[in-house]
Amino acid sequence: MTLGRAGDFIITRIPSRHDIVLIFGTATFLTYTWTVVVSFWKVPSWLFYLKTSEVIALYSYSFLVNFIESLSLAALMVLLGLILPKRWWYDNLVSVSVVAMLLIITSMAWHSRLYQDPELRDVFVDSQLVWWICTVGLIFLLCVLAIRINSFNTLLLNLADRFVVFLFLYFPLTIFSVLVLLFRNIR
Amino acid sequence: MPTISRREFLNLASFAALSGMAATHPFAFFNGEINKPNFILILFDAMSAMNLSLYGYSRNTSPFLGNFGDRSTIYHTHYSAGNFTTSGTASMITGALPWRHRAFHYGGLITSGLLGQNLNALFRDDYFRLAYCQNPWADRLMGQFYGDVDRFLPLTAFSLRGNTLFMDRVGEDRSLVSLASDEFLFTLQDDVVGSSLLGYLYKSAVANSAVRHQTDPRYPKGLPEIDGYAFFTNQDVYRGVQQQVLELDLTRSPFYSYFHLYSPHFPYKPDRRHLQLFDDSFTSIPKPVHPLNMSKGYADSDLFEKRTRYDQQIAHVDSEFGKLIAALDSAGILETSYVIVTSDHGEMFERGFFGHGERMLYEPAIRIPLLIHAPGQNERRDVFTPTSNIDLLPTIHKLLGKTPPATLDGSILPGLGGVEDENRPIFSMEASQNSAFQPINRAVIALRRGHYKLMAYPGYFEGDELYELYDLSRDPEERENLAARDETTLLSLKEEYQDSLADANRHFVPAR
Repeated sequence: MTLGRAGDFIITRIPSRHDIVLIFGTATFLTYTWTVVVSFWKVPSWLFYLKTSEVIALYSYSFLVNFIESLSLAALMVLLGLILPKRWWYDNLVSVSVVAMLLIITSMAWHSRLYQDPELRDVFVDSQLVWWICTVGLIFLLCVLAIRINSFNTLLLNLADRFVVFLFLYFPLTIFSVLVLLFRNIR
Repeated sequence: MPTISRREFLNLASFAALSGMAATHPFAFFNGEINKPNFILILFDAMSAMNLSLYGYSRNTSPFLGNFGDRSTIYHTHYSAGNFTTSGTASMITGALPWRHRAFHYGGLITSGLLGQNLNALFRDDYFRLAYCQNPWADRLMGQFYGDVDRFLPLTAFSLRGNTLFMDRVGEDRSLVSLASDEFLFTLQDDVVGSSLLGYLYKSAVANSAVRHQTDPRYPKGLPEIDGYAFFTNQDVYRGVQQQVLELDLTRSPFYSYFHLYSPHFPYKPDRRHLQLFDDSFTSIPKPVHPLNMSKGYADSDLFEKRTRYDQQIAHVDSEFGKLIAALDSAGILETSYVIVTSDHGEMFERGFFGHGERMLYEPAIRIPLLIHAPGQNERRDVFTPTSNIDLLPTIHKLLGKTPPATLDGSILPGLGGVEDENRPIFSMEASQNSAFQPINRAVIALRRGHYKLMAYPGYFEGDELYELYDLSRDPEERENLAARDETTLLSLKEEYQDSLADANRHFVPAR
C-alpha cells in the first residue's frame, strides 16, 4: 500500500532517529548554553533583590523558552531537508544542520549585541537585510564545503556527537523547570 | 429676653453637632451610609511638582490640574519616598518606607512580609478593584497583589500596538514572568538578550514596529512609547481610562480603580499642538554637576531642550486629564468618588543630570503633586505642611472608616482626618547599590524636617562623609549648602537620620 507520491516523498526524507538526536542535541546545546552564559552576568544583580526561589523560577522560565527554541530550530532543519533538493541538504543532514544552526544563532546573538543600545534601533532595522543576506551566503558556502570536504564533514559530525552529551544535563533541567512552573502556576 | 422653644434648641444642637463633624472632616457627611464612595487613583509617571504651574512654575503647564485643584485639597509639599518608579510606587502602595518594603532596585519586588499590606487589600470587602499600570515596573509590582485585583488590565491596553507577548495571559506568577521576559530573555533594554533565537526575533519585530510608528502626523516627534513595549496616543489612553470608570460606575457598586499612566515619562513625545508651546525666555539656574552623577553629564543647553520637551509633554497630559475630569463630572462621578491625583517620582534637569533615579534626591526628583477631591467637593483647600506618599495608605484607611495599623510608616493626611505637623520628618531614599537582603549601608537619604532638608550619602564616600543641608524657605533651588555653616542643624538632622536608619536596620530580617 502506498501513501501517494507526496506521502512516499515525505517518508524518504524523514531523518533517522540517530540523526534527529544529533540535530536536536546541537540545537539544545546552542540555545541553552547561550542563556546560561548570559545569566552569569545577571545573577550577581539578581541575588541583590531576588530570593533563591525566585531565581530558580527565573531559570525555569528560561529553560522552558530554551526548550521551545531548540525544538523549533531542530524542526526547521528537518523541514529544510524536506524542502531543499536532496543532495543539498538531506544527504548530509547532520553536518549542514550543525553549520546552519551555529551560524544562525551566532549571527542573531552578534547582531543583537552590536545594536543592543535602544538608541541604535533604526540602524538595527536598516542593517537587517544585508546582515541576513551575508549570513545566508556564509551558510551556503560552509554547507558546500561540508559536503565537498570530508574532514570538515567529519569535524561537524564529531561536534554534533559531543553536543548530544549536554542533553543529559539540559533535558532533566527542563523537566525540573516544568515541574517548578506547574507548581507555581497551578496552586 | 427672647426665649427659644425646645424644637429650636434641638435644631440648633443638631446643627452644632454637624458643624463640629465638618470642622474635623469637612466631607464627613459624604461618607454616608447610603453609598460607599468610589476611589479613583490617577498616577502620572515621572511628573515633578516643580514643573507644574499649579505649584508656581513659571510655564503654564497645568491649567487643567489647576481647575481640578479648585475642587480639591492640594498638598503643596508632598514627597515621594523613592526617586524612581519601583521604590516610589512601592512606598505609596504599601505605606512603607523603602528600607522596609525593600523594593529599591530597578524593577525590583516588595518583600513578601509586606504583601498583605497594600492599597488593594483595603478594598477587599464590597469593592470592585481595577488596576492598570502602563509602566512595566509598576505592572510588575502590582502583579505581586494579583489576588487583590478583580480586573487587571494588561500594560498594552489602549495602545496602538502591544508587544508584551504572553504577559496578558499570565496569572499569579505575573511578576516573575515579567522579570524573566523583560529583564532577561526578551529584554529591549541596553543589555545582552538572554534568549538567542526568540529574543532576537522579538527584538526584531519590536524594532521594525517602532520604525513604522515613528512617523505619525499627530506626533511629529514620533508616537509616545513605553520602551518599545507599546506605542500609544494619550488621547486613546485617557479615553480608555474614561471608559473603564464609566463602565464601573454603571454597575452601581463601589469600585477602586488604580491607573498608573506612563506619560509624561521619557521619551517626551507631545502631540503637534503642544509641541509649539513654551518658545519663551525661560531660563533655569545653573548648578554644579553632582559628584555622584553617573550619566554623561549633560550640558545646560541639552538640559534646557529636554526640560522644554518635558514641559510640553506635561501640558499635553494635563489637557487630556482635563477632558477626562470633565467627562467624569458630566457623568456625576465626582459627586460619588474620591479622585486622587499624584505621581510616583519627579524628574530632574539640572546638575548635569536629566531624568530620575540614580543618586539624585533633590526637590525636582522627589517633590510630586497630590490632589485629593472628595465626593461633591466644590471648594479648594491648600495644605502646605510636608507630607509623604506613604501617607496615602493610612489616609484611605481613615476614609473607609478603618483604623490604620500602628505598623504603617505614614500618617493620615491633614485635611482628611490628620493633623498638620510642620516638624514631622519626611524621608526619601535611593539604595539601588545595596542588597535587598542586607541592612542599609550604602544609600542616599533625604530628610526634610520643617524647612530644612538634609541629604546624606552613607557608604559612598570613604573618610569624609558628604552632607548637604538646605534651608528650603530661603533657598528652594538648593544652591547654598549650609552643612559647613550651620553645624547645629546639621548635627540634629544627622542624628535623626542615623537613628532612623539604625532602627530600620536593627529590625530588618532578611527573607531569603
